[in-house]
Formats: sequence, structure tokens, C-alpha cells
Amino acid sequence: MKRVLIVEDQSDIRKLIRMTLEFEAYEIHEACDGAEGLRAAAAVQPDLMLLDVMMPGELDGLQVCHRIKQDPALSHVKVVLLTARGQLRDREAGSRSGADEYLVKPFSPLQLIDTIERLTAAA
Amino acid sequence: MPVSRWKPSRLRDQVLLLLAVVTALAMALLYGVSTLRLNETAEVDARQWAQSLARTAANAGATRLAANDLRGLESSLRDFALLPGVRRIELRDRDGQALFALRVTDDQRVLSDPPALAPQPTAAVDDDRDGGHVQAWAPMGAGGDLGSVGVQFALEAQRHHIQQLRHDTVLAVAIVGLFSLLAMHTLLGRALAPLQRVVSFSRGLGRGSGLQLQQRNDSQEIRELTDALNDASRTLHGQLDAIRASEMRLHVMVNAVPDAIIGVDEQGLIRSASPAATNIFGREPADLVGVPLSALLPGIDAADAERRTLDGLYMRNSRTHVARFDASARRHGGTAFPVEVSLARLDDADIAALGEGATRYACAVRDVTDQRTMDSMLRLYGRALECTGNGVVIADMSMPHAPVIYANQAFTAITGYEVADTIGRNCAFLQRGDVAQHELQLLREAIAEGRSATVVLRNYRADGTLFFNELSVAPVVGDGPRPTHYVGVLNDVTERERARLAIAERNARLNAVFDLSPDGFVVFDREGQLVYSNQAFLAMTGWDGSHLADGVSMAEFDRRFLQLCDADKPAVPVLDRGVDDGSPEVQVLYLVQPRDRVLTRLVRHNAGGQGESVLYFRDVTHETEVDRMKSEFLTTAAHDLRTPMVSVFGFTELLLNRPVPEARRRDVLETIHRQASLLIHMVNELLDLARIEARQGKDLHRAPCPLGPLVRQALAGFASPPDGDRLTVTLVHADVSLLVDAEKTHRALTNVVSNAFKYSPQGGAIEVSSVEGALHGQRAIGLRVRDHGIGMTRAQLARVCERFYRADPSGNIPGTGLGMSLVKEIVELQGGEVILESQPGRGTEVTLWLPCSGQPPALLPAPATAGSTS
Repeated sequence: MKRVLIVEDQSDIRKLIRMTLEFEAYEIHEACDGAEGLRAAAAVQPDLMLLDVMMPGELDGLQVCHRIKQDPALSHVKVVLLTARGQLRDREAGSRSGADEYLVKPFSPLQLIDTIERLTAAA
Repeated sequence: MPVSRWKPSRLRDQVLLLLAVVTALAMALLYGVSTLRLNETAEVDARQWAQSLARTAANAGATRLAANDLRGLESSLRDFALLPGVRRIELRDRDGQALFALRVTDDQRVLSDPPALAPQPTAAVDDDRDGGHVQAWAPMGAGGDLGSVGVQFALEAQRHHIQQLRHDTVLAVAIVGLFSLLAMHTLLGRALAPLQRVVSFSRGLGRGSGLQLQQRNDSQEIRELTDALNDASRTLHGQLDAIRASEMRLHVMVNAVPDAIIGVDEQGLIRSASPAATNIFGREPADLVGVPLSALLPGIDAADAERRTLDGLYMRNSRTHVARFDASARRHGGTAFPVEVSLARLDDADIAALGEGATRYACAVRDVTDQRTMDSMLRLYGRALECTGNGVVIADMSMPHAPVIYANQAFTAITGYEVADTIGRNCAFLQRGDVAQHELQLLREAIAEGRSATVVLRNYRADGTLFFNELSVAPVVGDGPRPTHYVGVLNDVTERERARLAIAERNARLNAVFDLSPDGFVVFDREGQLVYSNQAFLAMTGWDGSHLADGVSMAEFDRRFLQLCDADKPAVPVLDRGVDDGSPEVQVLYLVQPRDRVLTRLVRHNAGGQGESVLYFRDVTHETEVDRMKSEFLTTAAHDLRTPMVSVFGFTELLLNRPVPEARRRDVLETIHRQASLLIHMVNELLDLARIEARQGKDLHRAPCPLGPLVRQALAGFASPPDGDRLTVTLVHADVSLLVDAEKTHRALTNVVSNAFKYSPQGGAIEVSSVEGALHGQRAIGLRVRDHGIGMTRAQLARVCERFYRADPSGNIPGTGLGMSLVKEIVELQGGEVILESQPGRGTEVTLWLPCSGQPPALLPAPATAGSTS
């Protein structure tokens, strides 16, 4: 079973993603800020991370993504950035950090499922 | 070889030589005579001695012979033989037969010798000088009857004696001669020495005339000679002085004359030339000597000079023929130049007196190049004055009223007054009584001070029409301190004046436009010097106009401007702008001095084809700021509006596509509702702010409103846990009535409290209290909200009330960036004030000062009605 880690500060959105994925065969883990997300990633070794970009605390989503991709133990983890910023500049920042996919809020839950399936199947 | 060659020339030598010769002759004569006499005396003496010896011997031997005692006779004769000088004694008998002979040897021995003497001579004494001896015979006995004795006597001793005498004589003569020569030499030397002195004095006379020779204790002849020489020296000195003085006068006169004075001989060759020839012909006078006159004055040779002078005037007193004529001379380099020549020919009689090769012609040459040039220039100036289009007048300043003494044709053309009518009048008649002109005053001052001046006057033509006269006057200064004349040049500038006035009018309009313009203008002239900058530009830069007035170069302008700019965004130098391609590029300049500003600049080089550069500045600080804030808002709002939409959109999609159990369905719908409410709140806030901003307080409904209920109502939304537990409210002025719009104030307070919660995420008490103070001198209450949250830096605090400004731009804390803007807007529109204090990590304190009621509002009109809000 594929493991998915959700890193998102808004509980309503975490709840939304959890509901979206509950009919699929995924093992769901959650974290509510960047630092916690990194710890969880190391502990869980997820196949895919859903990572919010703008979060409170020291680390934002881009930094977390960057660290994941720099860490040899975690670099295989697929990262999907979730962000309210959809301008070209923001997308470029995302790809620089090494993210595999970039979803702009508000995103479609069905589209999210497709994206996750595509990325995990490829892996 | 003539004898005179060997004759000494000096008197002393001659005298000495003569004396030597005479002395030598006299001595020789004396020597000869005395020697002769001496010889004779010696011979006589010898002979007498021999005879007496012979007689004595004869006497002594006569008896012995008579006795025929030959032996005794011989011995007595031997005694005789030993007498000095006796060489031989012979004895003969009366028949002349030799009885015996005795010979004396050189060593005085007496020997018997055979008879050798000549027989009895006829004479008693026989000289045999050659044999160096004499012999004498003496008879023995009476009449020689017994025999005779002969004695040979040697002359050697006599001769030796004579020889001795001769030597002595010669020596004595030589000594005497030498002494006399020496004595004569000394005497002559003494006697002739003063003569030497006189000679050297005479020689010195040539070098320094007027010398006097000191008299000494010399001979009479020398003294007379000295006197004569001194006389001659004095006379010579006097004459020399006279000649020198005369020569000096002549020399000075000749040198002082600027004309070249040249002496020429009969053959036309130059004999002398004055120093002025150097200036005129470019050759030193010494170099001209021997040069033909025709080399300097081509064509003027001896024959020509002769012809010209003889054709000229004859001056009786100086006995010269004089000719004057113009000629072309040639300078050293070959340049021809005009000269005036005065040629004088000396009379034949004078020439004869002066001798061969004397100066025949005196020639004075005057260079008239400058004079000719000046003449032609004067003619040229005269023509130029007549030809010029400018009117020219000359006024005589030495006469009262400074009358015009000259006016040219152009003057008539401009003014319409005839020259004849103008001469003698003062130029002021052109004003025709229009004397209230500022420029006239300037003109009078200039003339009073003897200066030049250029003024533009309103003058009137003969027909009465006005014209603008640009008059330039310049003084002509003669020997005195005051100008003797004034030259005035008139220029009809009527058209130019009209154009100038039109331009001035237009300039005035343009200047007004530029001065009123809120946009900055700067103009550089073709040399790149700043010539204009308007008020708006000075206000933008904070520069002092007087600092720009003294010609700032473009480079200096750029340098100063760069100092105003943000170091990270320096302005492109104006100077760097190349050739203007007609579509000036808009440059954006970020200033940090005198305060933050954003300007746009347009540069147009070569504006109007005059090489000028025009700079146009527009202050776009406000527009830029609004743009920036809008852009910031869009970014923030995008996030904050999208976040609730994620839930609304996502859950709705799930509900539509998935079967959801009833229990979870309600939870999902509540979530959707809550997030939709947040969206609505944000939209409302935005709209409120936009409305308040747009209405500028016109929709405020202020009414007396007790503080307590106002605060409680505002805090109602935070009363529930967990927020309610953190909130402490201390209201000591709960009963005080504020003059406020209750709904808006409620809104402001809510925002402040909401911020206090949002920015203290780690918890901590939120304290709401009230303080009393004054606003604009009137009683006011401050509503204070204090948190212990993350606080703000000074920079954040300064901007927190700007629209869309977020102290936390990451968006981690939800918000619109409009909350504090709204608070500030609401409080200030009610005559209140927002005071913020904050420290990072310590928390923030916000005090909303609001006026109390019971007093009329300070600045705003009291609201007419106190109805409900829309």
C-alpha cells in the first residue's frame, strides 16, 4: 500500500484530502507545519507528499520540498505542492525546489486523485 | 753694401763711435812716433856705448900692447868682454892684422876666437842691425900706431827694453781709450735721458691729448723743449674737444632723424649711412658702405643722381643742388616699399677741397609705407562708413551740446533726416520729447563716465513714425582724459524688437505654465549648462534654486541627482543618452532624498534643433505606491480568498461525486459554510474599506454613545472559549459618552482585538482597558488593546496602517492587510487618533483615541441625524 503524507496547516483542507483519498488504497499520514512534516517524512518514508507552500513556522513548503529532494534517503519521495499562488513566478519557485507537481488552490479532489495515482504508479 | 748701413742711427752711438775712432787714431800716431824715437835713441846709446867701450879698452890696453904684453892685454880685455852687452873683442895691429879675438858666449864665458870681424871699417862704428849688434873700433896709442881694438856690442838688450816699453805704451793707450769711452758713454746717457722722457711723452700725446710733461731739473734745452711740447698739447686738446663736440652734435642729429641719411660718392657708391638705415633697409650701416645706391633705390645711380640734382634747386648758402622725389626702395629681403628721397649734391669746389673719394651726394630717405597705408586705410574707412547699412554719427564732445559733425547716408535712410539738417544738432532730437525711457538714463550715465554703451531707444523718424534704434556709442579719446568725440552707430531694430516682445510675451506664458505645472522641467543649453528648472522640479529634489542658478553642467547635474537616488537603483545619467531618436524613453528614477519618491523622466536632446536638452520629470510616487499595494493585495488576497475556496470547492465536488454518509455529510456542509462565511467577511471588509475611502466620512453617523456597551458589544464575538479565557477587560470610563459612529467604531475595535489574537498565536492575555486624555485640547478616551504576541519591528509598525500591508507577508496568519487601514480610517474620520506601540517578541499595544461627547467635534460638522447604518 502506498503511503501518503499530508503537510497542511489548515485542518479543513487536511480533512478534505483525507476524505478524497479514503476510498483508495493509501496509508495516510498528516503533519500541520514544515518542521513536523520533515520529521514525519523521515519516520514514515512516504511514497508521496502533499505539501502546502504557505505554512506558519520556520519552514515553508518550498524549503521542506528542497530538503526532501536534497536528502538521499528521501529524494525518491514524490512531492506535490499545494498553493494558493498560481502565478508563473510561483510555479518557477516550485520547480526550482524540486517539486514533482504543482497544484493551485482551489484544486479539484478528483484531479488530486489522478495526480497521486499517476505519480505513485510511475514510481 | 753701403757704409751707411753700418752707421749707427742713435746720436749716442755715433758720438761714441767717433770718439773711439779719434782716440784709436791718436793713440796709434803716438805709439808710432814714440817707438821711432825710442829706437833711434837706443841705437845712438848703443853705438856711443860701444865706442866708449872700445876707446876705454884701447886706452887700457895701449900700454900693454906697447909692452908687447899680449898676454896681459888679453886678460885685461877679458874683463872688458864680461861687460854687459859685449859680444866680441878683437885686437888688431897697426897694419890691421888681427892679433887675437875674444868671443863671449851666451853663458858669459870668454873664449879665444879666430878673428871674424870685418877689417877696420872706415867709420868708427859699424851698424849691423840685422845681425842685432853694432861694432866699434878704437885706435890704440896715439893715432892708432899701435893697433886698434874692435868691440861688437849686442843690441838684444836694447831691443828687449824697447819691446817692453812698447807693450807698456800700448796698454796705457788702451786703458786711457777705454776710460774715455766709458766716461763719454755715461755722460751721454745722462745728457740724453730727459730726451727719452720727452720722446715717450710725445708718443703718448696721440692717445691722450692735453697731457702735461712735468719740468725737471734738466738742461735748458730740454726745459725749453718740454714747454713747447706742453703748449702744443694744450692747443691740440682744445682743438680736439671742439672737433669732438661738433662731431657729437652732428652724430646725434643724424641719429635722431628717422630718415636714413646716406653719403654717396662720385661713383654712386655708399660711403656712409646713419643708424636709421637699419630700420628702413634692414641692413647695418657698416654693411652698406661700398654698396651702390641703386641697390637700395633701384634706378638711382650716379648719373641719375647727377641729372636729378642739377635739375633741382640750387641752395646758395650751402652751395648744394637739392632734388626731392618719391621713389620705390628695396629692403634687404627684396621687398619694395615707397620712400621719399631728398638728394643734395655738393659743389665741385667743396669736392676739390675734400679730396678724392669724398661724399658727393647726401641722400635722405624716408619710409612712407605707414603713411601710405594710413592714407589708403582712411580712404577705405571713409568708404566703409558710407557703405554700411548702419547709421553712423560722430558728435564733437569738446563743444557744448555735443553737436553732430558727421552723419553717413545710412543715417538718412534710417531716420529720414538729411545729413545737412543733422550736422550741428544734438542727437536727442530723434526722441521728439519721448524722454521717459530707462535706456536713455543708461546712455547718459555711460557718456558721463566716458564709457561705451549699447542701448535700444524709441526714436522717431522725420515723418514721425516710431522706430527702435539700437544705438551703440563709443568714446574717442584724444590726449586729454575726456573723450573728444563720441561715435554712435544706429541700427533699426524695430522688427527685432517686435519679435522680441512677442517672444517675451510667449515666454512669460510658457514660464507661467511651467511654474504652475506639477511636473518638473529642466533645460540645458547647447553647452550642457543648466539654464532653467521650474519650481516643481526643485520641490521634487529639494534643491535650492540659487544653487542651480550659477550654471550647473550636465555632468554635475547627474552627479547631484545620483546622490538623491536609491543606491540600488541609480538613475541613468542624462549625459549618457546618445543621439535622440525622436522617441524618448521613459526612465524611472527611485529617489531616497529628500524623501522616497518615484519619478519618471523623459529626456529630449537637441530640442527645437538648438542643441538644448529638455528634461521632464513626473512624480509617480503615489501611482507607484498604489500599484505596488494593489499588486501586493492581489498576491495576498489570492491566497486568502483561495484558501477558504479550497474547502468550498473540494467538499462540494466530493458531495457531488461520492456517496457520503449522513453523519459526515453534516460535518462537511458545516465546513463549507464556515469557509464560505470567511470569504464573505473578507469581501465585506474590502467593500467597507473601499466605501469608507470613497465616501471620505460622509456616511458617518456620529452620536453620543456610552463607552461600556460599545466595547462589550464589540468583544461579544470573542467571548466564547478558548478566546474568551484570554480576554481581560478593564473599563474605568464605561459611563463616559463618546461622540462616535457606533457601528464603525465597533468594527474598528473588533479588528484591533482580532489582530491581538491573531498575532499572539502562542497565547497570552489580551487586555482591553480605557485611558483618559485629550485630543486637540479636548477631552478624549483611549481604548487600549494590549497583547503579548509576536509584536512588530519599528519598520513594520510604521507601515502597519498602509493598505494591504501585512506584517506577516507569508500569509501564515490569515488576513486581508486591510484591518488596520480600516481602523485608522474610521478613527481619524471621527477626529480621533491611533497610537501604536510594539516590540518584536514582546507584544503590541494599540490605543484608539476617540473624542468624548458633550463638546462639539473639533473639526467635523456634527451629524444632522443619528439613524441606523445601511
